[in-house]
Amino acid sequence: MEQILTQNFKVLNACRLNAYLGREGYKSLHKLFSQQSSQIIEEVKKSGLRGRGGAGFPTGMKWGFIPKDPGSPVYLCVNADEGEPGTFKDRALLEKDPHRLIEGIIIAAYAIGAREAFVYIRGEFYRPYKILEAAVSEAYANNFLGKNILGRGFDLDIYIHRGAGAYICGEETSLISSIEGKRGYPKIKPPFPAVKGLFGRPTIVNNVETLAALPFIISNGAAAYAAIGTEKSKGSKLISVSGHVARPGVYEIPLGLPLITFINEYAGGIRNGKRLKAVIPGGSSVPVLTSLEAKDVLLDYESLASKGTMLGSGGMIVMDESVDMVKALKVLVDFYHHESCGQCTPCREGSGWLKKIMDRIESGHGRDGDLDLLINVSDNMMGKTICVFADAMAMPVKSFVTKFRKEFEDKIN
Amino acid sequence: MPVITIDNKKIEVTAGTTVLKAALENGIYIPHYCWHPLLSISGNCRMCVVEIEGRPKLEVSCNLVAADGMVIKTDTPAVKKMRKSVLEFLLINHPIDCPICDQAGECLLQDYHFKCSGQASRFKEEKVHKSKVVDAGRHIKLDNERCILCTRCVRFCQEVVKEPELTVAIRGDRSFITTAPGKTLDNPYSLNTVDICPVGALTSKDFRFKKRVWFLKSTPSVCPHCSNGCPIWIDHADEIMYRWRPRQEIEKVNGIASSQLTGNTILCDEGRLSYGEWQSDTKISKPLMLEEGEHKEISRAEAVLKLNKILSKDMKEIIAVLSAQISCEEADAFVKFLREKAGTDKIYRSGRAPLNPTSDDIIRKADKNPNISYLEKMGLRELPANIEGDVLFVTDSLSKDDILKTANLKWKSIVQITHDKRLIVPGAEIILPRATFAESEGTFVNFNGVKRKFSPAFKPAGEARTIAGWIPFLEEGITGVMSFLRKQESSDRLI
Repeated sequence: MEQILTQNFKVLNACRLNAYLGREGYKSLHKLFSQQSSQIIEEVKKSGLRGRGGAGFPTGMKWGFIPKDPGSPVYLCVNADEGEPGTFKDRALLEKDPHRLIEGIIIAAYAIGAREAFVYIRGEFYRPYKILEAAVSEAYANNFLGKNILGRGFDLDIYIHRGAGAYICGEETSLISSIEGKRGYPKIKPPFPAVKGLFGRPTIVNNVETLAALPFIISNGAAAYAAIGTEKSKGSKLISVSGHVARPGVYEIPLGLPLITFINEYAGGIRNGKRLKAVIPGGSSVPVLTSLEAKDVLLDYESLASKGTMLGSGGMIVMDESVDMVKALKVLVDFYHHESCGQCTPCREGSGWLKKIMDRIESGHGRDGDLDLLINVSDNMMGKTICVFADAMAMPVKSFVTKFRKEFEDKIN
Repeated sequence: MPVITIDNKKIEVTAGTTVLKAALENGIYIPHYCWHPLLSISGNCRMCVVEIEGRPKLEVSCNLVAADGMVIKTDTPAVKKMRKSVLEFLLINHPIDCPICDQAGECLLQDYHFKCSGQASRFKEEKVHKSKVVDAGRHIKLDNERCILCTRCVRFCQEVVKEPELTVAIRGDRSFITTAPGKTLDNPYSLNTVDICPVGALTSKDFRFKKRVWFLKSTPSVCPHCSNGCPIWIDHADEIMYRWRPRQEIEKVNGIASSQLTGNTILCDEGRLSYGEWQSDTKISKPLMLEEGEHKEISRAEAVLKLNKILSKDMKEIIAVLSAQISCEEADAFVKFLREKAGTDKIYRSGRAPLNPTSDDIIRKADKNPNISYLEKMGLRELPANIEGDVLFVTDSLSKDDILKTANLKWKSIVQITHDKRLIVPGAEIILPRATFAESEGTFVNFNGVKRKFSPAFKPAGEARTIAGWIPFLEEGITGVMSFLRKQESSDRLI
């Protein structure tokens, strides 16, 4: 397929401005500045681009929520806090093609009327941070950033803000709290960030991969982007695949690719000739698929939803027949217990409760009724909190216990 | 104005108000922990959920703006189920140490458990252990195991006092309330965190383990500590005051402790803790007479005889000083007596005046007297420097300045009506025990002209009376001892 996001991944020193410019980098800006911001928003709406951070919300529509006359500065926040277990596609973009992100930031900022963009980068991403920082300096030095960009009267400053190691800060309102210097607690909605976000101003939070798709859309037109993928899931998507595949890594796929085709043709099939047991298709928060369910599913928003799971961030975790599903779930539960911010009652208390039950089951001290309790506690968490973290923990628990119940029962009895 | 329906009751609400506020103001009680009328909306406890017609999910009513035509249900099976599960979550790591917890009896965990849940715990694991008996500040002890992390205390310090002394630290079920390293919760309003804490996490060092709250009676009163005159509850038992709490002026109680409702009053720590001053060992319960340099207890009859000696024979000029600590009723009666019976118009005002009075733009006023506005309105002036007379009447006390002004003058006698030996003016010959504001009924007018009534929490100690109650005796002092003796019986009950 045509490579959009990964086109420079194999180019030597693509993270440097010269190499990027040599690959038609920043070409979209001329077209960008010759259009009204409303035209840009319209173009992105037409492209069908959806948020690639996990929620899959249409990007153009999100931008449209910024009030027409905001009366105060509008901010763009770039979510580079990639923390979803199994997800490492933004890191690849940050390291290998940071100027594509900067170009995307300029497009988004122009579209929403922001003069300042804040990149919130995961604290553990030190190398990507240094690379992005160097790229931003290069962009400033060559007037792709700063005052009067390319003499076209548009000003934009980029601030890079490093996180301090909290998964929850990848949630957009929590990310905003963190940039504001507050505890990384998600904020209650309404008000939504587009109305009252960073420092109380209208704010758009976009994922790295979403922004990196914009230069292609603006340069080649919405139709060229929309031609890729399916009717409802348009464009390409990065899939970061890990687990028991022969070639784990980051791949760009046209949306709608069969999951099995992806595993076999992109990721080199299941390692050591073993059989597939389960796949978490979109980051650890989404419900797991059994090998049977995985057989005929496509990697797009609708097909995965029809199987009760999600495309999410595209962080795929492949498990072969050797995996102990009880142990696998315990790892996930430990993670979510560790990362719950503790603000809302059901999540704070439920995450600890689930962990304690899982610890017991895994260590051979499970009791009758534990599995129903796991599901019941998960139900009491789902949809009952300020942000969707509780759902992100409850979904794997419910799907693992329901779909692999026998393994759990065997551990208890 | 939008009209919404809550539990089949049509309610007209002000635009922009939330469903929770509208419900509470209209007598529909929606259980809640983290929401508080003084504070910003946090939405973390998830207790105040309601069902909205046409919307798939339950939503928290504290953050739900009432829109015209909205139909709300607060008691559906889904709402009840969610409340029950939230309570279960809140209690799994709670120590349930009610028998030794000061909050028991006015605890929203207890109240809601009985009201909304009542289920036995399904949690069979080891509870999370956190710091207990933490010395959070001068007046506060913190028990993090009892805490439900509603963050009311954190927001109170940040938003009301503007001293962000408290924060939540660490994540998830390990989260706890703490101060910055080396800092303590020492703002001048710290004890309000105890009031607004819906559970027993924050307790007052002053009140800890002193009394189970169900033994306390609450009497509406007014804090006499400064000219703000905050409305208070005096919580007392067996004629002892145990604590003062802020009192809402409009009560809308549904069987839940009032301070947890829509109350928006606070108290400063120094005012709240000043209750102790009113029940010290030096409290006067019998008339005193100065004899050989010492104040000795005398009977009321002896006091009147002595007053008669001072006042009736060769009546000289009387100077009277009214303290701004006395009630409007006392001031009115005393001035009337002074003008009509004692024949003097030399009436001045005084009051308490500490050296460095605290004040701020929250509620503390520099004038530490509750009724100064009223005495000023009566036209009473401050005591002049070159005052002269024969007899000085003092009510309550004199300020230090006024003591200096009167100290070197040759008074034939000083007569004082006060409640505490520490307030006796040097050289006072007769001291009549005064019923305090906690023992009587009356009115104070605060700095802003707001009138607030107080009621007696209990009877005056011993022979103490209000100033108005002493007037018949003072009159007897002037007119003659015989008539006093005749009247003694009938006036005995006069307080």
